[in-house]
Amino acid sequence: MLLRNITLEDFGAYRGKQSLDLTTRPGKPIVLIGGLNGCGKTTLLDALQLVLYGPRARCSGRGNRPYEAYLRDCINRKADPSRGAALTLEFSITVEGKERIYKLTRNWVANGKTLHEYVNVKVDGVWDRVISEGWANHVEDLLPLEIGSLFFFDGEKIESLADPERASAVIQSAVHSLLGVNTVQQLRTDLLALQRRQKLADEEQEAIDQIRELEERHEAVQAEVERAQVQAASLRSALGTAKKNMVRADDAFARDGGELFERRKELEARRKDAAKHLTATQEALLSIAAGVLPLRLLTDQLVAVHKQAAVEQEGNEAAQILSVLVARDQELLARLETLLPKDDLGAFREHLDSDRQQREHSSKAERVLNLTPDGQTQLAGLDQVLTHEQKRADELLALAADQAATVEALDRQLAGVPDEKLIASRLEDRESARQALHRAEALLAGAVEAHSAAKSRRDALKTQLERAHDARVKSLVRAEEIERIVAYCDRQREVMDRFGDALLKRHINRLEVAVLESFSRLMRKRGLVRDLNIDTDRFRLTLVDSEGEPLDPGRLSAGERQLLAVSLLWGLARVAGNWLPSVIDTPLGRLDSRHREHLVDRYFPHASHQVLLLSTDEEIDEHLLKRLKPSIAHTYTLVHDDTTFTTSVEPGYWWTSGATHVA
Amino acid sequence: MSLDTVRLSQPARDQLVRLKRTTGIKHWNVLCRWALAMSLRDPSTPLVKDITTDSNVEMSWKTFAGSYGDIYLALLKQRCATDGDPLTDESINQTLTVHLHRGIGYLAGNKEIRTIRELVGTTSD
Repeated sequence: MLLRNITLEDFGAYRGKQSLDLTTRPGKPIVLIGGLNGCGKTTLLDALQLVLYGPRARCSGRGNRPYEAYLRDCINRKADPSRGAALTLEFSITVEGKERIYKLTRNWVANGKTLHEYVNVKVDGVWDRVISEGWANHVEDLLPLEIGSLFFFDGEKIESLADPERASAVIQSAVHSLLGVNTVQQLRTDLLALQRRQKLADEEQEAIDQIRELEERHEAVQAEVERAQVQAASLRSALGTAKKNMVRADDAFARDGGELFERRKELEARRKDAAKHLTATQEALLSIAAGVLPLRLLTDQLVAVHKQAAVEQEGNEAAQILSVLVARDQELLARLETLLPKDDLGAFREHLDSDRQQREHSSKAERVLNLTPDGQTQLAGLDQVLTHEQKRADELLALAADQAATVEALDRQLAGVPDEKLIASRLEDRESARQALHRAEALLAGAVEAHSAAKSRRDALKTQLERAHDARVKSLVRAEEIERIVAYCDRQREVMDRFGDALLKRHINRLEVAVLESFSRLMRKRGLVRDLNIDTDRFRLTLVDSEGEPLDPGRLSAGERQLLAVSLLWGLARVAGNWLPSVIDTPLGRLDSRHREHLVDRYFPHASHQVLLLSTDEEIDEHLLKRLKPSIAHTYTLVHDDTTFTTSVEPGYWWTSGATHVA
Repeated sequence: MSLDTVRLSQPARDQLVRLKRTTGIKHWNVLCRWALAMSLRDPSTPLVKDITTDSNVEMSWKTFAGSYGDIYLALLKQRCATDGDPLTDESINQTLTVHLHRGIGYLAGNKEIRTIRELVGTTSD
């Protein structure tokens, strides 16, 4: 990894856009950045960490403040908060065998109380949306935070690394992440996960359970089918009995005149009808009886009345004409006296007299009836009326006789019909037999249906069972496969375990050698530490003095401890392959001139392919600058303007002012 | 003419009540006409002459005889004449009463005349 350029815009004390070219060449790995106290050296280190890790960055200026508050405070006081601050880091890194140039920009703006932060990443000049949005994860792949903090450090503050406890943590995380031991562990974990994912045992058990359950259900349904069959059979025989009963009841009913009984209603209806007709005829007879008909009984008497009436009428007529006849006869005789001979006249007179006498006699006949003229007329028409009425009466009587005969016949038939009480029990028997038959039929139908339903359920279960068996066979095959996978996983994990141990041991050995070598190169007291051990279990660093006794790091001076810490980091970097840039703030504080020279001569030029030194004029002074010069790629000075409280980046170092590049 | 009302005796009334039921004839007068005819056609002289008309059944002559009142009156007169009775109103009235009650007795006593058909059937002989 090579840092190419960092640009700060309104970040902290840096006003406006300040850009630093950080590119180094082989043989000239050092970028020297000078600055007096408070000029922003540490801010630069913070900026570097912040742009990469955002909220997770271990910035010295943040303390316990919330991230947003920190970001807000990081905006330059003179700058417009709504335009915010921005950090841009350009670096190249080899990913999957290809060198790529990342341009990472992190900017944030404050609008009132809200603060928005944006991360944009250009890879080889092309904005990458996925990486931009997932930078926090992506940066862990490129440069894990744990590692980053080992390479971007404050020289004064790393002294604590010499403390055995602290050192062991650093060594552990470094060994694990930097030296790839955790990859092996991750592999082991993944294998375990893979192993655990093979849940076949459960599945197998499930399949067996399922089969068992299905078998149980199948058995139950089979029993049900048999039960239903038995029930259907018994119901069938019950139905047969019911049918027989029905036939018997029908027979009994027919034997006791049941069919006639059923005809009874019809007969009754017909009888009622006939009776109605008869009643109508009788009504007609009644009305005719109310008429003239009784007189038919008195035929003889009526003849007598007729005779008497005729006599009386004759008498009446004679009485009426008698006086007229006397006068007329006398006038006739007077006229004929002259015309007729005397004898003839006498005979004629006699005739007239006898006629009158006869008439007088008849007029004197007894009057019994004294009929009125109306009565006479009625009497005259009576015979005809009576004949007519008689004819009508005879017709009605014939009709009535006929109808009565019909009624009688029906009555006879009805008499042949058995008594309702007698047949009632038969009828009841038959009805109950019929109901029993219906019930039996319904029950049988239900049982047959239940039987077929149970059968179809059984068949369904059978196929399910077969399928489960098939599945089990398949799962058995798979089980074998999985067993193999699990076995191989176990073996692989064992191998990984051994490999991890071996790797760790090897790394630790190399680390011991590298750290000891670095320490001896940097230390003024060459004989102080003869050996250095790191145990592989707890990663404890132990020093061994010239006597072969363990040396407590607490007995070392602060400067010596700083050197030990530097040695540790340097050793780690060397074992890891020196691929990360080192950024060292305050590299030489607390150290005496001999140690400073050692660091400048032996450490900085070889610490990495890229070493950023953030130094005061007291640390890297004119003397040391001269010794360092052959390795320097760029120099910068951070200039603080006390009137505006802003820092700007100037090329050159104090004693090389004006020269951007010092060859 | 003063045949004003026709009255019946209590026994005659009782007999008529039964006849009304058996024949189905609803009116007193119709039955009475038949009873009178029954008696008049018997040429013998009625034996019972003394009749107490003590029932509550009574009807006017018009109601009794209906539209053939003249004929019935003529027949009664003729009967009186035949029997040698005087043709006074009283005599005719008496004849009517006597014959009516005898006829009712005939109808009630005749076991062959029970229904309307049998009653009407008597005219066919």
